[in-house]
Amino acid sequence: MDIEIGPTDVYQPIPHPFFLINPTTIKMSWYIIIFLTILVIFVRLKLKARPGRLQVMLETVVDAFDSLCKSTLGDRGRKYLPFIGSLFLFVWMSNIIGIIPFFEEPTKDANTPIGLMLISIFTAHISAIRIKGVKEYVREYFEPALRIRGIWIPNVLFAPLNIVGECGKAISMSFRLFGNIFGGGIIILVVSSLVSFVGLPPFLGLFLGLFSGTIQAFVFSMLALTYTAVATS
Amino acid sequence: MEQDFTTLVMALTYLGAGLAMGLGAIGAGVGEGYTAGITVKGMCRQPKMQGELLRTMLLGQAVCESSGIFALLVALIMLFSGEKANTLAQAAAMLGGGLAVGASAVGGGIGTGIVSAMACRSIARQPEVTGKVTGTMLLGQAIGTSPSVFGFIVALILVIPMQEFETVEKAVALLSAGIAMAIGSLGPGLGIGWIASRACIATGLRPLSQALVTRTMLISGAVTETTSIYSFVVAILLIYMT
Repeated sequence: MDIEIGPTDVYQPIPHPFFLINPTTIKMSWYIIIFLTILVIFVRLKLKARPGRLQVMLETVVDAFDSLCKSTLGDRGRKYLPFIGSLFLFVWMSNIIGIIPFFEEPTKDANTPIGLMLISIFTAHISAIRIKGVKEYVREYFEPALRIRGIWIPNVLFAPLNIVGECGKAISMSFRLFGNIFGGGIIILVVSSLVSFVGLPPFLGLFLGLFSGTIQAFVFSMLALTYTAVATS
Repeated sequence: MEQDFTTLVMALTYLGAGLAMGLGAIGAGVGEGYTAGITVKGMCRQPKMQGELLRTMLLGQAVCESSGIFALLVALIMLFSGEKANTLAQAAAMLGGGLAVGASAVGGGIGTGIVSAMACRSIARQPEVTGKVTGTMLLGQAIGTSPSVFGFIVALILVIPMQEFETVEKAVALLSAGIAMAIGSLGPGLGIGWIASRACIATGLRPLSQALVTRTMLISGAVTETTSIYSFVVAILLIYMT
């Protein structure tokens, strides 16, 4: 068994540690992006009053996320629906693409979850700054502050704790996705090498890929949504 | 010292990986099971809410599982890249890293499990406040996992860089860094879980005072977390200052 932590192959156009490229991950991500785009455009062009199967499927996803965004963010929810919905669709497709032979999950490479996490955290913080203003945003890091006779005194002791808390959120969000998908891949590899001629691994792949992959994608997008809601409230 | 420690390093690496995953499974298992149990009870009480309850349960369980996932990652890294280590200090670092991530997952896992369980109970009692309770739960779980995140970071520092140290003192220091983080994050994880679970119940009982409850939860959570930050600082000092 030959298992590597991290990307499966690395291409280095310029000899410098910051110019590493993982061709497999990028290829798989682009497959998913192109597939989703074509699917959505196809369904959009053939919208009908009496929907077919594909249209019902996509409408269910959009409806579910629309109501989730509305119930979490209130009136602002619609603005975040494209981001949260496409985040879910991309992570979901990335998690379940492994059940097709010769395809690899892009989320199995730690770089993809970390990148997606950076996008979500960035969205949450930028929305917080846009809604509250820079002053109020920075002020939150010094909460819970003391107020003596109406004068606001920044709580310097709590600022590092707040920053550590933000970093902890970010780390656990990205590594949860990575660990689940990567661990699933390892389990399938180990079981395949144990039972070479028994048809168990495909079913295990179905369970780990479809079930756990769907849950993880849902959790990831829900966390992005809730962190945005918490940061902007 | 001109001894070859390869065998010892391999032995301690395997021991560390086993300890990491074995200890790391405790917290997530207890926490997720408790959440599921309370959710089933809540569904029985409020059958109409089963969709919401199932969603909250899965969300809470996934967050609760993250400390176990940290342990799994560290154990895998140790198993697949442990052969490069060949000094006594690296052997001790492997064992210390395994202990750190494993034991810190116990407190974090059980703590966040209590939070999601109480959030589900709260939702079953007060279906109107689902959104608010879910927000409080996720915030509480985010502080609750931070001791396990510290354990994870210390374990990664211990497991990944292969410094060339060969003294016995350094080996003991690296092992103690792992032990400091392991034991030091048990209590804070459980304690923050307790605080955040009460906050979820309080939000369910009085949705209007959610801002006050959340603020108090954050303050007390940060105070409780301080002790695990002390352990984190001591572990970092042990790794880099000795």
